[in-house]
Amino acid sequence: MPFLKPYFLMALAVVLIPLIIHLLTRDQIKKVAFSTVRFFIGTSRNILRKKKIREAFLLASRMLACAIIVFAFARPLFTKEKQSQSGRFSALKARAIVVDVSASMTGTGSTIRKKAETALNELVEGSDAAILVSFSGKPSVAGPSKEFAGIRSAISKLEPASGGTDIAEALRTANSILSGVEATEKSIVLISDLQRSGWQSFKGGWKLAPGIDLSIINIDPAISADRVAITDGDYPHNIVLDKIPRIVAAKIANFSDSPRNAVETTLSVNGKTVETQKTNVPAHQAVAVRFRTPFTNPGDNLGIIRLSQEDEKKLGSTFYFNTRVNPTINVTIVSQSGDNMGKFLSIALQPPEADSPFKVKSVNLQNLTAKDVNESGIVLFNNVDTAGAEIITAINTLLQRGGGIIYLPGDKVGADKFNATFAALSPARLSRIMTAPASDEQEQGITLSKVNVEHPIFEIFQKPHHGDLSGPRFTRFWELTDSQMSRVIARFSNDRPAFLERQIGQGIAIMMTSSVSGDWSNLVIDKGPMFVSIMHQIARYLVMRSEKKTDYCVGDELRLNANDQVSDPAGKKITERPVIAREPGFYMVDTGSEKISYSVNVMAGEADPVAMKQEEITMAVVPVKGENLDAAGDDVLAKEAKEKVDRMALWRYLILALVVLLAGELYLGNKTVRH
Amino acid sequence: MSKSRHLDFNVLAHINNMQLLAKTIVEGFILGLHRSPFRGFSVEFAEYRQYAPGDDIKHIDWKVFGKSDRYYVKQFEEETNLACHILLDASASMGYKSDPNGMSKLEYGSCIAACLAYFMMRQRDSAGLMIFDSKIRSMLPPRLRQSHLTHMLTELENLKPGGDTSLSGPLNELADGIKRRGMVLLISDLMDDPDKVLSALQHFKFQGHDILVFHIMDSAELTFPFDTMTEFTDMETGEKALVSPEGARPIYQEQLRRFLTHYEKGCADIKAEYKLFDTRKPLDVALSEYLFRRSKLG
Repeated sequence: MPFLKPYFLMALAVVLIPLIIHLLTRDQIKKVAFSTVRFFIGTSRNILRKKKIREAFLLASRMLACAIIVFAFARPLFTKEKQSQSGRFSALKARAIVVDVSASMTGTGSTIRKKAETALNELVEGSDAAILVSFSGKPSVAGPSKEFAGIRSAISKLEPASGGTDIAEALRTANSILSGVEATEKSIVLISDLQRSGWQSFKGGWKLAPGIDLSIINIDPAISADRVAITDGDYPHNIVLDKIPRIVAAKIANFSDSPRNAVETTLSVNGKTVETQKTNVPAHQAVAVRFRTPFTNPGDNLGIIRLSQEDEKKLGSTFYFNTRVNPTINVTIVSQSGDNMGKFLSIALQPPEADSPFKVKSVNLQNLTAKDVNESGIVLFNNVDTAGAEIITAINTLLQRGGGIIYLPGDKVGADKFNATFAALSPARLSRIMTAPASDEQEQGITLSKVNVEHPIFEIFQKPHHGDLSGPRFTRFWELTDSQMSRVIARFSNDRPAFLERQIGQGIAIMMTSSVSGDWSNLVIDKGPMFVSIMHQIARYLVMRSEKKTDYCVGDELRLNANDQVSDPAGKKITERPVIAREPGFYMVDTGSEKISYSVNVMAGEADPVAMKQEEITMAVVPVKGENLDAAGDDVLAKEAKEKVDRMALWRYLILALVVLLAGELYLGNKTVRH
Repeated sequence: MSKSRHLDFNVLAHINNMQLLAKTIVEGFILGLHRSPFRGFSVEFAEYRQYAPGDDIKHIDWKVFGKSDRYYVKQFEEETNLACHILLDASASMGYKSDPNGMSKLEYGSCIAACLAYFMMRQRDSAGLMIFDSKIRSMLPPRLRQSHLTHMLTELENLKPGGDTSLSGPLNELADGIKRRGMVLLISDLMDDPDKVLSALQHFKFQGHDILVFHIMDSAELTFPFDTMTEFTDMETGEKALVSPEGARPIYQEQLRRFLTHYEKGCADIKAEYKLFDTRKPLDVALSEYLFRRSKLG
C-alpha cells in the first residue's frame, strides 16, 4: 500500500508501548492461605479466562490503536491496479526522466545514458524521488525511488531498440506517476529526438498536472535526413486462392533536400524476387510503389519489400508482410429440378472467363449425395425444402467442422417440409410468404434497412461507390418464427429480418428470407453486381471468418495460445510468455495443427526523421497558468485530481476505526481492573 | 479500671496465659455490670420481693412474715446448676487470621470458650469443653470444680488447629454422648455443609438442649479485601484457586451471604441462637450474648 508520508511508518515502534506497559504492570500473583476456597473455586477459572481474554483484547486494541494512529499520520492511499507501478510517497523533489529508446534513436545510446545520468544527478539522493520512463513502443517504468541505485542501473541498461516512438504516451505515463507523488517540486525531463511521427497518438484531452515542469533535451536524430525509407506498406492480408494479381504497395519517402531518382524497390515473395521497380522521389515527398502479383501458394506467403540500394539493416529499408491464401473453396448449389436460379447463383460465384476462388458444382436435389456435401466447404440450398437423412447428417457434419450453409427459400419451398427437414440446421423456421404492401411510388416492394455494416458481409458497402444497399427492392419474403438462436444482420424496411446467421458447431448457417428469383426481388435482374458482391461476401465470410491477425509492430504482444511454440526472426525459440515482438522480421508460430508466420515491422513512420519543435510539445501538454481545468480537454486531469483526493481519503476511515476501537477499549477497560 | 481498658482487644490478643486472659475479661466485664439488669444471677446478691399471686409459696420468707406480717419472696436463695457444653471447632480453617498481629478464629473461639468457662464457674454453672475437627479431639464433661476449670483452660491454651472441618460427625457423636440436658454452645466457623450441621444441631434440640451457635469469621472472610491477583490455598483441602479479586469479589460475597443466611434461618428454625462474630470485634459481645440467653433459661 502506498503512503503519502511513509516516514511516519518508522513510528510504528510505538505499538510496543502498550505491550511494555502490559508486561510491566502484569498482575503480581500473591499467595494466600485461606480458610476455604469453596465460594469461588467454581468460578475462578471462568473469571480468569474471561479476564485473560479481555486483557488480550485490550492489549491488541491498544496496539492496534497505536498502529492506526501511525498509519493515519502516514496517510495511506487506496491502491489502484493501473497505478500500482507508481506507488505514492513524499519527497522534496520528484523528477521523471523520460527517455526515448525507439528505433530512431539507434546509435545514440551513450548520449541518452549520459543525459539521463545528468538529469538524475541534479536530484539529491535520499530526499528527492526519481522515476525513469523509457519507451520503445510501450513505456516501461522504474521507480519512483529515493534510492537511486536501481534508477542508475536502469539508466546504464538503456539502449535504443527496434520499437516505435510514442512521446505522448510516455509523457502521460510520467504525468500519472508524478501525480501520485507528494513533492514540492515536480518535473519531467524528456530526452528524445522528438520525431514528429512519434507524436501522432496525441489526440489532446489531457495536460500535465499543474505544478509539473517539462524540460526537453533534444537529441540530434540518429537517422540521416539524407535518405529514403519505406514508411508504410499495404498488402492483401487474407485472400482466397485465385490467379488474380493482388496489389502490394509501399510508401517511399525522401527525407533529403534533393530529389532521389531511380530508387530501386524490390518485392520478393517466399524468397523469390517478384519485381524491382525504379522510382523517382521528389525532395521531402513520398511516393507509392505498387506491385501486382498473384499469390498462388495456399497458406502463408512471406513477402518482403526492400529498398535495394539501402543497407538491409537500416531503419526503414525493409518491410515484412504475410499474405495468407486460402485454398479454392468448393461450393455446391442445390436446386430443385426446373429451377433456373441455380444457374444464376453458379455464375455469380464462378463467373465464366474469370478466376474465381470458388469452384461451384450445381446439382439437382434428386442427384445430391452425401459425398457432394462432404467435399464442399459451402452448400447453398436454393429454393429447397427437403433432403434425405443421409444428406442432413452430412450437412450437420459439415457445420460441425466449420463449413457453411446458405438457405435461399423461394416459392417452391413448403414451410412445413422445410421446418421438418432443416429446422435444427437453419437460423429460423419458416412461417409463410409475405407480400410487400403496394406502394404508390413507381418502384414496388420494400428495401433493405437496418443493415449491420460492421458485419464482414456488408462492410465493403461502407466504402464509397461500392453499392447502395437500399437499391434492391423486395416484393415477397418469408415470415419467420423461432429465430431466437440467430443474429439478424440485415432487416427489410418493414423491420422483418432479411439476413440471419446462426452458429452451429464450428460452422455458420445463413438465410436470406427472400428468393433471388425475379418474382421476389430485383436483386439479380436489376442489381446484378450487388448480388454478385453479396454472394461473394457471404461465401468468403463463411470460409475466412476465423483468420488470425498476422501483422504486428515491434513492441506488440503476439497473440498466442498457451501451447503455441514461437521462434524469433533468427530462428531462436522463445519460451517466455507473453511474447513481445522485439525485432522486425518473421516470427514463426507452430500451433500444433498448423504453422503461421507473423510479420513484424518497425512502427510505420519510425524512419521519418522529421522532428517537432520543443515548443509544440510544451504548448500541447503544459497547462497555461489559470487555465480552466474543468474544460472538456482537461477532464482527465480533473478526474485524476478527484481520484487523488479520493485515494487520500483512507485516513478518515482509519480515524473512524480508531474512535470505534477506543470506545471498545474504554468499555473493556472499565470492566477489566488491573492491579 | 474501666471495662474498656480490660477488654481492649489488642491488649487481650497478646495475653498468652488463658487463665489470666479469661479472668481479665470476665472481671472487667463484671465490674461494668453493676447496673446490669442481669444482677439477679449473682449468688451473693439478695433481694426481697412482695409476694404476688402465682408465686410458689415455698419461696416465701416466713421469718420476715413473722416480723412484718407481710409476705415476701426471697430471691437470693435461687441456686443455679446449669450444665453448659462448650463445643469448639479446632479444624485447620479455624487457624486463619488475616491480620498477623491479630487473633485467629481458633484463638478468638478459644478465648470465648475460656471466658465463658470462667464466667460460668463464677456463676456456679458447670461447664464442659469438647474440642473437635473431623473427629472429637478432647472431651471434658461439665464439672463445677476449680481444678476442672484449670484443666479446661490448659486445654485451650495448648490448642493447635488441624484437620478438616466435618462438624456433623462429631456433633452427632456428642449429641449421643451428652446425657444431661443443658446448654450447648457451638463455637465454629461452620465450614461444612450447612444442612448437615443444622441436622446435627437439631439432634441436640431433640435431646432438650438449649443451643447457642457462635459463628466465628475473620473480617477478611467477611469483606474479602484482596485487591491483587491472588492464589488462594484452602487451609483444609490444600486446593488452590487463582483468583482475580475484582471478578471474584461479588461472587464470593454473594455466596457468603447465602451461606450465612442459610445458617441464620436454619438456626431460627430449630430455635437455636445464632450469632456471627468478627474476630476483630470485642469479646464482651459474646459474654453478653451468653448472659442474655442464660437469663431466658431462668
